[in-house]
Amino acid sequence: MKRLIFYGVTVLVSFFICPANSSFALDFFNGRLHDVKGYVNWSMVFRMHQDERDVTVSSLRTTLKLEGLLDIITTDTVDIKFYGLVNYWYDGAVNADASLRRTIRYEDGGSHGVKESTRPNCEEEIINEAYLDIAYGNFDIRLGKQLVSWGESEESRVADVINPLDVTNMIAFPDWENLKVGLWMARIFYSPPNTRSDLSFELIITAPDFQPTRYPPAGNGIFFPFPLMPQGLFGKVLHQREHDRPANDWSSMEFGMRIRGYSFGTDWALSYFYSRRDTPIIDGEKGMGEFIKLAFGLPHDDVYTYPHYSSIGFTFARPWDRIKSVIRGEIIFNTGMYYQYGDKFEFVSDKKKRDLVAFAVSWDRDNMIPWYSYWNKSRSVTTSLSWYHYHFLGHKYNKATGEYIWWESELHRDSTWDVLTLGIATFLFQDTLILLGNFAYDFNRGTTIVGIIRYKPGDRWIYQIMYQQLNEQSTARMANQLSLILKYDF
Amino acid sequence: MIKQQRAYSFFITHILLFLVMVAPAFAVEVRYPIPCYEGEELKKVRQWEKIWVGKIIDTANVDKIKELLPESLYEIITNEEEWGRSWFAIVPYRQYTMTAGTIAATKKYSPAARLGEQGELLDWVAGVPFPVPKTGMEIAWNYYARTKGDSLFTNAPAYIVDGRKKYDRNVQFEVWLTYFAGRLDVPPVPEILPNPKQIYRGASSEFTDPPEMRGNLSFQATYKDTSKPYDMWAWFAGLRRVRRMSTAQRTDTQAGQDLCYDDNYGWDGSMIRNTYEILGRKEILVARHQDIQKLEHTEGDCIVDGLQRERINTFVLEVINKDPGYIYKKSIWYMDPELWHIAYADRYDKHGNYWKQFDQYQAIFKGYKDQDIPYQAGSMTIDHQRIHSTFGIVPDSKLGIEIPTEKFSIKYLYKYGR
Repeated sequence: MKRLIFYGVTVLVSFFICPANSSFALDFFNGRLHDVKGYVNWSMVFRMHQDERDVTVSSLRTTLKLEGLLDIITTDTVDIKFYGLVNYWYDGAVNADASLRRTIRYEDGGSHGVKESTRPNCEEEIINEAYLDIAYGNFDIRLGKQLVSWGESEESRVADVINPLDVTNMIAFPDWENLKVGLWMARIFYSPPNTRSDLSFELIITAPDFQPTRYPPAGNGIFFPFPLMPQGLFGKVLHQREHDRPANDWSSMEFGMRIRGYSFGTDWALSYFYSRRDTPIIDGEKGMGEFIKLAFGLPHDDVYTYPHYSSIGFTFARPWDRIKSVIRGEIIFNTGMYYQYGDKFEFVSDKKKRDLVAFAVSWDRDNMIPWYSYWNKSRSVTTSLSWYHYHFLGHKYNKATGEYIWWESELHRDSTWDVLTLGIATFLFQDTLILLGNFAYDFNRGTTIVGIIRYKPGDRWIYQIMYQQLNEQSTARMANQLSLILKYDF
Repeated sequence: MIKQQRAYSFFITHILLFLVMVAPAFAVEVRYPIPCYEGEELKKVRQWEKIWVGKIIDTANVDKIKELLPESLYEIITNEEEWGRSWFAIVPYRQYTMTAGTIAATKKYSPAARLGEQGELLDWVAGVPFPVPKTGMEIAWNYYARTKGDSLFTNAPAYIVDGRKKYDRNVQFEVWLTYFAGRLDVPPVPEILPNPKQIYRGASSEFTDPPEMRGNLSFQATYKDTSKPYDMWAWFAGLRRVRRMSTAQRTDTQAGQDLCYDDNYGWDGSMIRNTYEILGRKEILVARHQDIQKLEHTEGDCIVDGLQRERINTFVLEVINKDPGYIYKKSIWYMDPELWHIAYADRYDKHGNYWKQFDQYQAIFKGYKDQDIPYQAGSMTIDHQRIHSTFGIVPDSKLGIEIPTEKFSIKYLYKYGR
């Protein structure tokens, strides 16, 4: 019944409020509520490889997104607005594919996961952003649930560490605002006029409401690459991670600040953020002991911990006219982060504090290809070539015992990790047909290829086909997917 | 001997004093504004208008005034099969009224204005630098100096028309523009101080349509140092980020339109990026004093109908970009000799084939202290190769208004981007 109501509302919104070819933005209350916009998105995701799970349709989702801006007070001295962004979805894949329903039940240990995979489970997942924006003189204060984007890189996050991610529906490279989890915070901007280097300052203080990375239920989404585990174990792991979240007290608050400027033709920013890990680690030897009890269904204490760390970052962007490009970069130093220390069988014996240095450099260019651009009416091919480098300091690998510190590097034994990415975009037939491609070469893992064909004949409807292929040589290929997307913007 | 020297010094000093005091009386006063037609020429135009004013020109009678149309416009009107029926009306020539500030600044500053070795504009402050231009470069700087009321806000709906498939798409954006230097009427004149970045013009825009682009903002800074490239930043709502843009991206089109950043107003790049040669003068019919209510658009039709065109004697410039890889091999600009704007332009692709037609239509808006200011009521960019066009009809623009300078800054993008 709820599903029917949801579909009905979606159809009403699409056809009664949004005339097909007119151009408008919704305004209410004499224009005080304005810039109302949103979309309805239908997506189907097909797995291109089947393992013993035999799942074909991994997502059959309808999403409704709405946002708007309300002017509360507008005077010469103060300006107060309210901005809200809500997102509701229904995923019918478990009804379309019985194998998926069976897999989730098996890996999650019950039908709870099936229900979780069909719709948002709480208001927190529906309200993505809701904040008051108060502008007063050179100060601007934002209070409420927000998404923050620091950094310059697009494919991976280096300096952009504020919001955790929601990976419940990882169709490749969605917009960041669809991938991040909003955090309740106070954000204060100070922009003094006529400063040298155009300086501005930003301070962030989050509320004591810790949010970890949001995962789909076991048996779904990004967990496909892993072979089937004992029934319900994966579900227990995910539920335990949720259970072991830090308490919502002062210890969960996070702090950050950023100074931005413009000097010698270069945009730059210096940042600092004190935070907890968004994904937990097993709490050393003690945690491992509790994990074994968990695995055998015995009473147990906390298994996981979300330790604190600090991230210091520097970003820059500068056009280089001689080569008609923009060079962007960021570098971060993560200090004080704890990592699991264990052996190749994932038996954790300790946790260790280590530092990480990472940088990303991107070369963005609009390229005129001799024959092609002439045929395409001087439309360029946009490329973005990026290099991501991670260097784990104080790496410890014990060749005798096989023990080492687990970090993002897939093979763990290496102290460095490099990824090269190339993004290509071209716009055809007056931007009605858009071809996008992204190639990533992970020196430690393998390649990822994403290809997108997007057709946009008018102002509102978008038709898209996307193919994603990961690490052809490993079990990660189970995540290879073909997505069909139909979107209506209003 | 000493007495003689003193006498000579006394004599020479007084001669010099006399020259300094009297010389201004002999200085040539700058004549401005200069009407397009006057005297016998005006009489001839009025004679012609007795026959043609009030007439609707379409395929049935366009041949009779063919010599007063650029070939590209003639082709559109005669080729109904490809472009559909197109028509315009002929109205009498009217001289543009220049604002008091424009006249005062031109008379005050134009005598000192000159070109440097690279063609750059030197010793100019405000107003039309070359009221009687002798070279194409001087005409180009006259174009550059026009400040469109010193500051403006416009809500610009635009149509992207596919003439083959006979349908429209829509783009709409709000534009705020302020000239920090070269100001004519709105105080402070001639420059907003302090101006630490030495900005000549700041332009800020926000997309309001199509929906997927709504909320995208951009800020562009043009500098007083004309050799310095433009700077541009854009806020992308989907990325939640301010992105620095490259000057190379100025030749790329946006949202499927037929014009790139450089094509705004006819030309929106640094003047010294081009060479300009005067090919001569040509009388053509140009859209100048529009009654916007009379403009018509039919979906799928690439042309705006109902334009009211006046006969004027334009300067014809051949414009070639110094970048050999530029998207246009050459352009022909038809310059309005009163307003010094690009009334019409023909653009050729890299192989020298005719590609795009640019047709700009002005209307009279009220500016500072209610002065009449001619400003763009819209423009058409028509791709003759693809039978495709982008044009706008701007019902109202607010000129000479006060816009906070903070709107023209990167901080503004961070502050108001959502």
